[in-house]
Amino acid sequence: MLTEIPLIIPAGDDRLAADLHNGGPEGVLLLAGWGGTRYGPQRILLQAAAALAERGLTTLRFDFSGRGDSTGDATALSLDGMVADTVTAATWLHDEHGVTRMHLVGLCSGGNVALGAASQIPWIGDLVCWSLLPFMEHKAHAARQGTPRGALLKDYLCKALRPETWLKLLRGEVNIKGAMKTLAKDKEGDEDEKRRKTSARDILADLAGFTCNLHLIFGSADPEAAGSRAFFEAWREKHGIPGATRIIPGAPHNFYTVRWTAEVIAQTVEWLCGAK
Amino acid sequence: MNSLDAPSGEPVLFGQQRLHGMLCLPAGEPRARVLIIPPLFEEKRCAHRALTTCARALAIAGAAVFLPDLTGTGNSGGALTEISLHQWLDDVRAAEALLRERAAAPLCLIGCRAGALPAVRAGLTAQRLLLWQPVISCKSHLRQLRTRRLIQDSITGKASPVGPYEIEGQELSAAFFAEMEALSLPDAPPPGEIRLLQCSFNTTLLTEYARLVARWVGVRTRCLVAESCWNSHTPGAYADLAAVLVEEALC
Repeated sequence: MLTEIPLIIPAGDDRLAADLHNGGPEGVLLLAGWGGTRYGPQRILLQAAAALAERGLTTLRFDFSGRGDSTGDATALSLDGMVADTVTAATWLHDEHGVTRMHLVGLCSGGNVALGAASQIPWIGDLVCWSLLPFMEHKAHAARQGTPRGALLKDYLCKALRPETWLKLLRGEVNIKGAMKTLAKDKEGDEDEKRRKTSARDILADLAGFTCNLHLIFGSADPEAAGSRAFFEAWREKHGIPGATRIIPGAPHNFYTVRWTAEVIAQTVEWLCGAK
Repeated sequence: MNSLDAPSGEPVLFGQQRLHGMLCLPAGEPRARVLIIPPLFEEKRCAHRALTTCARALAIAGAAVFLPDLTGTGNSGGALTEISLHQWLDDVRAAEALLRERAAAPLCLIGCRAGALPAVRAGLTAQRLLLWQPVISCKSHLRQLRTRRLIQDSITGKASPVGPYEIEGQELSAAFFAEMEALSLPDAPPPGEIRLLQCSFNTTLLTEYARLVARWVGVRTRCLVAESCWNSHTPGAYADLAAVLVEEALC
């Protein structure tokens, strides 16, 4: 059974809320996505921590500044800030708990954070990125691989065909304006959010000499997976970085069923603990 | 750091199961105790930041606030396959007991979305109950959550492997699922002052809330035009929402 201790990690002016399982000198940081909490969708990060802790690893889940229970301005979160928080947490684990090898597991933007932090942590181990997104500067290339807005439109059309929607419509309980706004909206947010999602560093250039594994897991139903996979597999090969890719058939971005979640976690455990 | 970040809160363990929660204490003697029971399943995750922000704002306004994670939710341990509704009701009572240990002041119980159901059913004596966009009937709520996934499946064109007692990637035991389906707000109102806060795109009271208010005479309603934070993908600042929560919980 996972026994985690809730704690606070100081990070400059902010306080990062975290949960620690104290295991051996090999540790794992679990990184949430852009809007996420430290337990993740369907508690996938908590469950992964439990599975990795069972294999003797020290695990740490934390909320980025401005997210979950951590302090900080929610509207100021940035990719570089998330990377800085990750380096702070890794340093804290190293200094306070003697972790000498640190793996990073990240979901969605948390995967991008893992790539950004890897070159900043001297005792870095392997990286496992779930549903890794292309960096903002590579989005245009990847966007050609999918049609997320079309999918959203189909979602609304499905809802429009349901009798209860018509009943709500008659009662004035359907937010038509909101639906139109959602369809028109860029899912990466406004210009400020896009700027905050862009690193001031060239993260991939900094990571070019990476010698540990970079493992990737995607769901085949994730609209961004095809473009992202193609990009990162090519980049990995070009720089001679070892690692594997696992595609989970039918799964979307967040792997939202019990079975898909279990598959993601089992693969991650196999990659990080398989040799033990 | 913005003004809502102080007092920032203390992570605590509570109850026999050593569940996780966030306790926010005011600088001085508390004028009230506020227990916030969060939404369930993915709505909890989406609303997490908004609830934390509101808890901090309430603490700044002088309340001792506790935001617990019930068994098998949030950061707490436990699995929904191994518990019954009874456990969640015990968790709510244990959360109130922790808050009582830390502060002696009148209790305001806030139930957000489906969190309103265990909040009300736990049988606590609260001076004020604030129902925040409450789920009235869990059966229709669970059906909506499962339907949402079926729509996603129709978009991808593939049937996802969702179990019969699975809700948004969380598996429940058959017995617990049945208990949840049977869960609804009671016909008669609990004792104490009751307020209902609706957050929607307009100020027209939803039909289901109008029916509840007709049944529970004396409920004070407030309709706020605000984003539904329990569906939000990216957290916002929530300062306006927190100010309203402070008014409704403490004034």
